[in-house]
Amino acid sequence: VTSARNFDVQCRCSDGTLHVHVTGELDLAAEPTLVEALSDSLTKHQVSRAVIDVTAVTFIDSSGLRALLNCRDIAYRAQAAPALMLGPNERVHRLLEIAGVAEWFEYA
Amino acid sequence: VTATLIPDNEPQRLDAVRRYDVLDTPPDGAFERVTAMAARLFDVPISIVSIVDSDRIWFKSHHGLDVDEIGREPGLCASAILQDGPWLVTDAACDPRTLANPLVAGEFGLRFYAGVPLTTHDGYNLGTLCVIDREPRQVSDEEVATLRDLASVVMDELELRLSARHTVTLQEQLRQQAEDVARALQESLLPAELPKVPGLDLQARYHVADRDRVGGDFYDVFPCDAGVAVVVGDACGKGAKAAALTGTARWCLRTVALGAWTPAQALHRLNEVIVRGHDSPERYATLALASVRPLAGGGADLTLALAGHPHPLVLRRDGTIDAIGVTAPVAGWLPDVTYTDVTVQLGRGDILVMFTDGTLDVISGRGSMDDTHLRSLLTAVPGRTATQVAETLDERLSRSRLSDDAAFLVIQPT
Repeated sequence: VTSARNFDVQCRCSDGTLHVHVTGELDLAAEPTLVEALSDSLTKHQVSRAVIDVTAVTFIDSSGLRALLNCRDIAYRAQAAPALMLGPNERVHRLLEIAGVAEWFEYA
Repeated sequence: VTATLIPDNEPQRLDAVRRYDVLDTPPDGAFERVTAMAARLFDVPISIVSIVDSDRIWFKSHHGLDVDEIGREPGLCASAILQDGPWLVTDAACDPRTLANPLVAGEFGLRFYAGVPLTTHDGYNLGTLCVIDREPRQVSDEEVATLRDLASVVMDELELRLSARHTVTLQEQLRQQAEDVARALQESLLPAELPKVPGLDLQARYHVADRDRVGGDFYDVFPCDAGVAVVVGDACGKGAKAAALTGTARWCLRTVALGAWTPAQALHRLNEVIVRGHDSPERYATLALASVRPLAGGGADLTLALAGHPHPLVLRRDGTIDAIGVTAPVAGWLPDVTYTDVTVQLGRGDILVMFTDGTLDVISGRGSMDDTHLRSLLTAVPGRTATQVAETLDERLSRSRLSDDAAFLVIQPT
């Protein structure tokens, strides 16, 4: 298991939007941290939109993809419209394309 | 050895000596410090940590004496372990217990001996901690108490070593068990051997990243009406949950392929099976599934569908490479997903390569999901046979440290 020290997640609320800023390697080790951070923030704050910013993700594998899919579902259930912020991140984009799930996301 | 020097429980005592596994081990700091300290506190030239073996007294530490062991017969430690308390000889030359002892009467000239047995928690005296002088001496009760305390430090150290060794052994056993379970599980998820299909050369390989932990990659090859069905997949995650999903996928596809089927229909079924079987929405798998029908005149018809899986590559006889398949979502996350069949002609000598992202990780860099390097590698394979392609990929995977499991399948119409 890859160490979680190469991974960080920061949550911030402004104007009814939750911004989840994900940095580093999004893998099996990072998955629970991201999902919990999002869930906690959505419990504490009433927001209408949750933007997962993966611009600074340097690595993503199938567990990382599962984390993003889970985040999408969790935000949706909390009535916060989920959106991904990809930026120019070719790596994440390619995985979403190959996995056939790129169309399941809204983009910010 | 004189019978009076043998304790009643000698066989069990010797078992205990063996159990602590200390005889003939190299000197080490903890015991050296205790004997140095004992000699300093008693102001004597010699202090010893001794272990009484069947026919000798072996010294784990011998401060002030350049001898590793002596015979059990003259050794005073053999007498000292016969009782539970300290054994004191203040002037050995006058003491009836010791005056005839060769260490006392002879050149060595021992006159003072104070020893405390090293007693195990279950009551066996392994040996002693003792202090020795060539002059007669008196000992106070306080000094005896100090010697007892130091003897228990020695015993604690021996117990510590024993339990550390047990822990290491236990860990080794647990690791071995985990490895055995993982291997058994992995083997149950892969076909024992590939079916022989006339007109096709089939090669499949599995490279394991972590021997303790079953990965999520799998492949399967089984006969069907059309010819043969081939699948390469990757269940998300690792361990028992991934293995369970792998089993579900493999047997679901085999069942569907018993009737009339296409790969897209089979993936649709599999997707519904996983989605409806959810107890937690945490699992999905990526798959490439194909049916291959060898043609009478050579070559084969291939029908392929993908579920979130990297596109298989076809290496044509002329060296060009096509990525085949229509992208569709991973299986098991959402219901009512549409999968798409593509039909491709494989000419005689063309080679189909299906692989998991673990294979791409090694060849193109971890997590890159880019098949450019794999294409270059395939183009450069000499001879362009299924076996040579498999060997080239094998070689590449074997000399890399895998971060993920890697599986691939190679098919060539002959």
